[in-house]
Amino acid sequence: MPPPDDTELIRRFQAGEESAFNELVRKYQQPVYTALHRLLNSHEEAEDLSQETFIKAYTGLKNFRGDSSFFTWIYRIATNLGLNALRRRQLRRILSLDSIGLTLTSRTPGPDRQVEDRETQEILSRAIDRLPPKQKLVFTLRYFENLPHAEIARIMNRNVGTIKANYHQAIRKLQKAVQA
Amino acid sequence: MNTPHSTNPDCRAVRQALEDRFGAAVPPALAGERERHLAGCAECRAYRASLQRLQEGLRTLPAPDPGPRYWANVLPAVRSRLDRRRETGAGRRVWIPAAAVAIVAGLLLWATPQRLSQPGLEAGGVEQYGYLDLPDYNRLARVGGAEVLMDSLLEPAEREFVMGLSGVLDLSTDPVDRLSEMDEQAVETILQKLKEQSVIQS
Repeated sequence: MPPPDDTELIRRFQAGEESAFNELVRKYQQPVYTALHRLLNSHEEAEDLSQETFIKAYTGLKNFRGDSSFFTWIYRIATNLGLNALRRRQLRRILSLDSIGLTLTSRTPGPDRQVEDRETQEILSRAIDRLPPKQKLVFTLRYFENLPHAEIARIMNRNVGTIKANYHQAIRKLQKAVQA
Repeated sequence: MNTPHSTNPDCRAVRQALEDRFGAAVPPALAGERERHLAGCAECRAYRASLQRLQEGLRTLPAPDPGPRYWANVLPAVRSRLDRRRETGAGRRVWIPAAAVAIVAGLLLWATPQRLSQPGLEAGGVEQYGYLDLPDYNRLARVGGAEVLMDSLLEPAEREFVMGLSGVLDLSTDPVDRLSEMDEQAVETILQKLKEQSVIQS
């Protein structure tokens, strides 16, 4: 038997079946965590905001009308939380109230390649981290999550042209960083 | 010259098309006309090569992987936090009640007549799921209600600093985004102005 789709799970949850929410969490925990981690480059923040995303979803799901897909809706909650965290972090950096450490997880290629890759990684991680919040969000969703522009536009409540412009600007800034 | 800002409209179109396809697992082919342009334009080929180098670099970035034990703990953690909030009512702390937002925004509108021509707030959209949608946030920012949001985002010292900026800058758009996009020199200039006006101390 195929797994129930989101609409069915939401209907069951709204009818009082708590376990339907558990299934939605299991289904979306990975994409939500991954998107937040890509956006924030921090396991702790991604973990905390993933849980917060599902708590907000739980609260709002009773009134969910299905105007958008659950996928779009849950990403919208997660990315709003991520964007706020990012804004706060960037503001703190500008005001020099704290510093942002780059947390690169360990990798396993050969030693020479490892050094070269690590340099590239550091340059790129820093450049991605410096993108303005909205450009970073668009770049994360498009490049890393491989979402189409139209879906990102729905998640962010923007038009496709704006999303494309943000994506192009992000690419050009990253390109400059790599060339420098 | 690896820049998308060519004066040649054909070059601009080709480079935009290349950027559109950037990141796609299997990039769709360019239209025949653009492929022909690429074949004859060394600058556009160099631009494509620089995009390829960027893509190769991005591929080396590690994918987030918290390990299998993490996934098994997500649901219990969410359930536990939900239970704690039910018990303590702490969840209400992070909500921004639409009524409060509307009242503060109303006061701001009343206090600043020049803003009366700006779009008003639609409180219903703010509270719907207990968080702010981006358009709501931007609407709030336009009428000055972003100050309310600042309370939930910033520590008191940070908030005081940002509010100080509004006396120096026209923060007609999202103030945090504006700050994020400023370069260091611009921030220095602002700091100097704030010091001159005794908003902050040296």
